[in-house]
Amino acid sequence: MSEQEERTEGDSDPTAAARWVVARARSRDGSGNPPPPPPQQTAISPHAAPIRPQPARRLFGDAPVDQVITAPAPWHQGERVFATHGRMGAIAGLAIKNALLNLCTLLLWRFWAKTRVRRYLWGQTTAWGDPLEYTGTGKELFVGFVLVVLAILLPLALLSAGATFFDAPWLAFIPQIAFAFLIPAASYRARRYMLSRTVWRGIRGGLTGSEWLYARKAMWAYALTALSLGWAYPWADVRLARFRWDHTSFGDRHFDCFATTRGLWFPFATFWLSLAAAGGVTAMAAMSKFTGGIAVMIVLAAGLSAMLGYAWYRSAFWNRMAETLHFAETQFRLDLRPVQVMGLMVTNWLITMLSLGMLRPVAALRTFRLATAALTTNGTPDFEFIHQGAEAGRQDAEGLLALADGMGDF
Amino acid sequence: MVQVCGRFNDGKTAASRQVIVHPRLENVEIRSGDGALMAVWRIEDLRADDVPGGGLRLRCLADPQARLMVEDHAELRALAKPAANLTWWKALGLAAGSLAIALGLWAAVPAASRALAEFVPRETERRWGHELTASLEQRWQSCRAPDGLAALRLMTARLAVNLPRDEQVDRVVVVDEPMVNALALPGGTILIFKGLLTKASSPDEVAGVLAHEMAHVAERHATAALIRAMGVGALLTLVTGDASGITAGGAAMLVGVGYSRADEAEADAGAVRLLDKAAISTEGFARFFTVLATEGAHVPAWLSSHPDPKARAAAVTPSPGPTTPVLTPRQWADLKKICG
Repeated sequence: MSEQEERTEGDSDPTAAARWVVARARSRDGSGNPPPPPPQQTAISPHAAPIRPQPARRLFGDAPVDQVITAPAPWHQGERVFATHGRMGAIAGLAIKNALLNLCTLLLWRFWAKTRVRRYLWGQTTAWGDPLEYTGTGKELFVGFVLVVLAILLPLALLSAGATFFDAPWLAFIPQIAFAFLIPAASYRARRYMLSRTVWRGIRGGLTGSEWLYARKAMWAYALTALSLGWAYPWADVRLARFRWDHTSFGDRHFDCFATTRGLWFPFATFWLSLAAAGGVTAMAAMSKFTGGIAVMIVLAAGLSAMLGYAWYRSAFWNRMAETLHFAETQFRLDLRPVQVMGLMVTNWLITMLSLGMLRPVAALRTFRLATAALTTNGTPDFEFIHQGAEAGRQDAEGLLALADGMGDF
Repeated sequence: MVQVCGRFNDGKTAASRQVIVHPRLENVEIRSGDGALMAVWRIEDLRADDVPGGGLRLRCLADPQARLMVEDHAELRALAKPAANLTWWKALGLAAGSLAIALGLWAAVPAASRALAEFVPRETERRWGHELTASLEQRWQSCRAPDGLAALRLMTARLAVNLPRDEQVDRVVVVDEPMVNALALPGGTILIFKGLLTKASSPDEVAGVLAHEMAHVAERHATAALIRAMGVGALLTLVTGDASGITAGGAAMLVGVGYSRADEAEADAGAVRLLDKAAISTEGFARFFTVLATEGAHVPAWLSSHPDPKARAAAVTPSPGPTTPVLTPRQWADLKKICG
């Protein structure tokens, strides 16, 4: 047999290596040098399963057991609890495919696009070694959207048109107030939809509580924030977040959130002052004689410093929320640093802007990665005592929020 | 024989149990380590999903909450039916649907906006016209030489006497800009640009353009165009969910531009009727289109808001009866000097 034939014969056959060695020894070289080592069995990637022989039809039957395939190793104590395994290449490819289909369908594809992105992001996130699942469908999102257009948007649009045509500006206030009330309610409903379609080890998540109560709380909170020139914002933020988290459930157990605004005031004060400074600098640059490049640089610098202040406040907020969040004997902990958060925000913004919104899922994956890397737990829930929840989950979905979200990422 | 072990979640609690999977002819048995039967899944109900980090997750349609995690094995994967990938069918259906919506908009919107334009109260229209003129007059100077204005009023009166009572012209303003153009605003205001007066070689040509704009006013084209642009924009924003309005703006421009051609043809016919009733020669009107044809850059027909000038000239019928000039040479000279 020639060397060519032997080398192309089954690489997984262990005897091929031996034959290769013998063939080389018979080569015309005859120099007496030791033969080169046999070709390595290279795995495709370091994590690929070793190539094992695949016997036919050996799963069935009553023959004696000679091979045991064990279950994939579950999570071990000391390992990271939460992990994201998603790859940039896969999600970027999905994002581009979605963008092309969006173009062909006048953006009607966006509901199915969002569903696919969520399915990928959820499916690649694991908790205690087991992945999440997203069980929502594009049809549910689409139906929710159509219902909202017919029931809410059309009447409001007619009111706005009526205000213009019949010279009744007071008519235009009704849609504005309605929107201010509907947007928080819609975001609560969207969260409920997302949680009820999130499954882990077969157990569903959920969100109880009335979205109208939440919307009322939100209106009061934002009104107070406006009245206090923004200083009530941490209080409003925490109040609404506690409502959301206290009503979030997994199976039949609820989360408990004991967050207060302690530790948030200093970062918020920095944020407020940096925002005011940025606003002042921008106004001065607009009125002054600096034009062109210098003005842009000044505004950009002001904007970046405001963003740093915001990142500091946000990371302190999330760290505080995680610290005070409990679920069934487990405590959580987030270790976000402001610079990390700001870096993530700025790069995500750049990625989204430069790709005209097409690569928002890539930004979402980066956020997931940072979140799972920084999240740790103290204690493990007793999984035996987390039962399936009773609520089956509503059939229609986000609706109004889908409209307000525009192109949407996840 | 190969024995497959797995981790089983029964969907009633979040706990995972070590199980042994026994594939049989028609179903798969899931037994715990000590042999107790935990579940029996029919093979035709099995579905499989990939799990990050290798591994396979099996589900059963009849027991939708239970999950079985096993090592990825070719035969187990072959047992479960893969989920049908309907992406391309869905996308095709949606593309067809969006095409239908676009065509529907194309067909229905002009008729709807024309109908809606009839419902807009005259007072509102006139207010819009005044607001628009006020904002335009801030940018452009209006020409007010008294002799020129008198000549203009004479020409306007001669044509407008044949308009229906409730479609009278509000006012005619000459704007000191070198563009060769005339505009009809909602509410009956007509703007004529100085460039048009300079380019015209006889008062009949100006009378023709003025009659054309009066026809726009009579048919309420400007209001209909406004409703059309807003309507198409709003509808597209709703369909595409594009809150920024970029798609709406672009599409509204294309759609709006297309329909203006029908409006222009209608206004041309109305102008000829007015000129005939006022006993003014239509030859000047037709001649002006040839002037327009030589003037200006060539925009492709489907992008242009006006039909092809040669076609417009050909559509102008000659005057049926005897005609008299609309202005004396002295008045024509005054009109030409209206901007000083």
